[in-house]
Amino acid sequence: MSLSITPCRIKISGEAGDGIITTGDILMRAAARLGYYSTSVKTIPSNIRGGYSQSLVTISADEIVSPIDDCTILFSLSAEALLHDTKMPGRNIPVFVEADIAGNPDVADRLTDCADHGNRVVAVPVVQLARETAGNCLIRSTVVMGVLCRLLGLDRDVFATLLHDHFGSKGAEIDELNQIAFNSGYLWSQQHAGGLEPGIGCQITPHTDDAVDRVILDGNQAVALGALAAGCSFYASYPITPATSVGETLAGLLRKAGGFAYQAEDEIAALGAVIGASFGGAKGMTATSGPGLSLMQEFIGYASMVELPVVIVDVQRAGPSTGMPTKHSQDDLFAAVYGGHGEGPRIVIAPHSVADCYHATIDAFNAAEQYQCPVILLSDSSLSSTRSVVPADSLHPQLIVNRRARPENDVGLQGRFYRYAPIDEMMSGYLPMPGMGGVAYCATGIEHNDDSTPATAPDVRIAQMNRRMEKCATIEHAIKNSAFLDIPDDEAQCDVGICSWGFTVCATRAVVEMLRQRGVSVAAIYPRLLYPLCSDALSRWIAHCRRHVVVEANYHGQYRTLIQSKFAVSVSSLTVFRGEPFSPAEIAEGVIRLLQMKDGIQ
Amino acid sequence: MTAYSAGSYRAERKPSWCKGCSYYGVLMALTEVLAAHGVAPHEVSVISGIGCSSRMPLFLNTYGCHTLHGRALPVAIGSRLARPDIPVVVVAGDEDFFSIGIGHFVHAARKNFNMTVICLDNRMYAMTKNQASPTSAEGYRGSLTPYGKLSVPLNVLEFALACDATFVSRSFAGSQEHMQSVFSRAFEHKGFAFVEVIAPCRTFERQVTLASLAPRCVDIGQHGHDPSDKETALTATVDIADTDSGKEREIPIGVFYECSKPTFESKVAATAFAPSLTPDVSSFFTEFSP
Repeated sequence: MSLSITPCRIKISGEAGDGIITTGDILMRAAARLGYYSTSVKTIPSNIRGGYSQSLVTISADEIVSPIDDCTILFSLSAEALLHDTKMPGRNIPVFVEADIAGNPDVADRLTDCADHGNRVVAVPVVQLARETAGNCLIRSTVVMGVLCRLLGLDRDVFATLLHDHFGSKGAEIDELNQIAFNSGYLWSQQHAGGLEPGIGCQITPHTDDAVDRVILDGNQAVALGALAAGCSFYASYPITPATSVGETLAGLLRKAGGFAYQAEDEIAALGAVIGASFGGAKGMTATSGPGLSLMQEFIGYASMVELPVVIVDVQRAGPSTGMPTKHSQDDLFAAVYGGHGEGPRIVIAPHSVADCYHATIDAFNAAEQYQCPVILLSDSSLSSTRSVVPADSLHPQLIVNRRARPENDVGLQGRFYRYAPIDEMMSGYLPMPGMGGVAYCATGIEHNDDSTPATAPDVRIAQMNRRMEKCATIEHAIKNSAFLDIPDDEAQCDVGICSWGFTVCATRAVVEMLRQRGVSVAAIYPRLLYPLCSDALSRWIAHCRRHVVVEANYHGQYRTLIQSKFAVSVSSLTVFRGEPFSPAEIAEGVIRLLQMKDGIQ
Repeated sequence: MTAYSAGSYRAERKPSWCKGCSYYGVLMALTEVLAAHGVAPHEVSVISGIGCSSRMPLFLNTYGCHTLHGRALPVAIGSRLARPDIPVVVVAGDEDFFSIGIGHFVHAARKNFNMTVICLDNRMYAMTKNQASPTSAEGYRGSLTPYGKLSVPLNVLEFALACDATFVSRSFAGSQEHMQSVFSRAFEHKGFAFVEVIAPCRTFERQVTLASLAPRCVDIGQHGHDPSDKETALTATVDIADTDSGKEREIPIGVFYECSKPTFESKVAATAFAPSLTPDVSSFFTEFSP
């Protein structure tokens, strides 16, 4: 991957309800239709209307490492948004601002400041154009689209088609008005932009490879598609932000492919139904967010105890309690690993990009079937709301693990079925489902012996605990890419080892490249299998570096704590918990500060 | 029809219930009814919650799922949706269905899932050694209510009717004949078939016994009750809330209400029932094209 091509990053900001998110989406789709890679990341307030809203669209000829980074063009439609986005003005970028707010004293001061720092400030009469041409200032974000289309040198016909696709269903008049508004923005930038030539603020390198089939997915859609590819035929859920769209997507897919999505009365019932379906022989999944994960904990323990495969997707949001339902956080790792009472087998997997949401979901189903236990997929609100161009051929169906079929003429040991026999016998055995004769069994959450009979004798307890707790021992090497190790070829020790997981990996990867270009030797590890720990990969990473830091979006440094619970090594923690993901600049700054603290240099 | 006997459904392990528990009779009636219907033991699932009555599946050699306290119905629903070919019998106690699990009962009944739902009502928490349950009489002295229960009992039949259950009945653990008759009708009913079984606990309740209740239990059919009329059914349930007071009133048992409505499963397309899917995901990519 090369960072020498600077992707173009356009941030459009304003009030929720301004049409910002739609504009960002159409912009990224236009770029995708024109053969570019593109991503869009939205920030929305936790209410239906009002509050700061923004869409960050990245367009590049190459695959995009981090959808989060400093923008190369800013377009602000409201005073609040402008003040929010220009706190650090020294970026030397074009700053477009709605002309009506330029007169606001706070805004005027800030714009002067921006200009003093080398930014080019351009007031655009967006509202006036919308009112004069389309007679409707609600349409202003479409004017912005017209301005940006010309500035970026993109094909206006593609936008016209996309606008028609989006607004055509809302009636001929609205469709027509949006075309007019778009054209007014486009014309304005031709007539009034002066020195603002197409290509300002970025160089979109012409792409060469437009033969590749591409899809646009957000993280939740990728999870749904991955579930379908893995053979999921039953889904049950209760609505919760930001997980709802996993079910919205999967319900539609299952309706066509076969299978069923059930809306339950609460999260407890949702996981209960998935367990019942799994008992019946189906591959089942539920998706929720933090509050739902809390409610599901008793049933997660049950699935551990009766050894039924289930997949629980937790699209994390900032907790505890209601917290910030639309805001970024990675603070459910402890709940995923340690939540609930007692000790039972669990597997926790975290995807690190939108495309990986697809692959990690397949890994989760495979692990659930292989090890017959609950698997928690830890996604997060940023992954759920980041839309990304994904090459279709990267979504090849992979290895799919299915429930072990009943061997011919096998009625179990001595003509009797021992569902919970010692591990080596069990792993060559299978999980029966109702309808199969000779192997009927009772799943019970009570401690039991090998044929499900309730038992509390110490030797039975020890045997069953060992059987459950040790059965996942091989998982690190059973899951493809349980961790990505990025260690320089020369085997010398590195100055610093950086670790991150989940969405934070995107920004961290960009930082690792940047630090290496600056001459810092870095070894990085990006675990996808979070629990059980991928110990072999972590050992290598630990041995390769003088200092270690885990970058993650929670207060405690939760994954750092997991590492330290296993390895006798002092690991630093770089965290944010403000409800927004890390930017690469923040991570770079934190790592450099760490190097300075230890060395007193640089 | 293959010949099964009640013994065909019994596990080797012995029930852990107290000697003389009224639940032994329920176990016998249930196995007799399964045998009478010729259901193979491996072609039925018995799903339960937590409590004395919920131990039932452990004493059977059918497929069984002994779940969490209050959560048998959601698991039963998942099982029905994944495997509509496998009949489901749900067994749990009054506190399991109507205290911790009452939220699930409302929706399972209202949605009319096709399952036989048997509540073994001993009007107390027995496994935790005698606490007042929603069906205990007002004033009942449980270990956590030394001042007596301060609320009126829940009339579970009235509640089941209000939840739009399509089959609402009560039987008595002291009568094999009655239980087998009602369980049979419940098992044959297409939809949510609820049976409350009056089954007193002989360890923590000395006053009310199967013997003391037997003469008072009278099938409402004998009074010419019409189970197709919901209004009459509601009226008939009102009388029976208080069986524990020692008053020698008649306790109506039998089928209070029965109607035919489409089950939830019947509203789901037949193609939805696919335990194993191997779709070509690429055929769905066009839905996500730019």
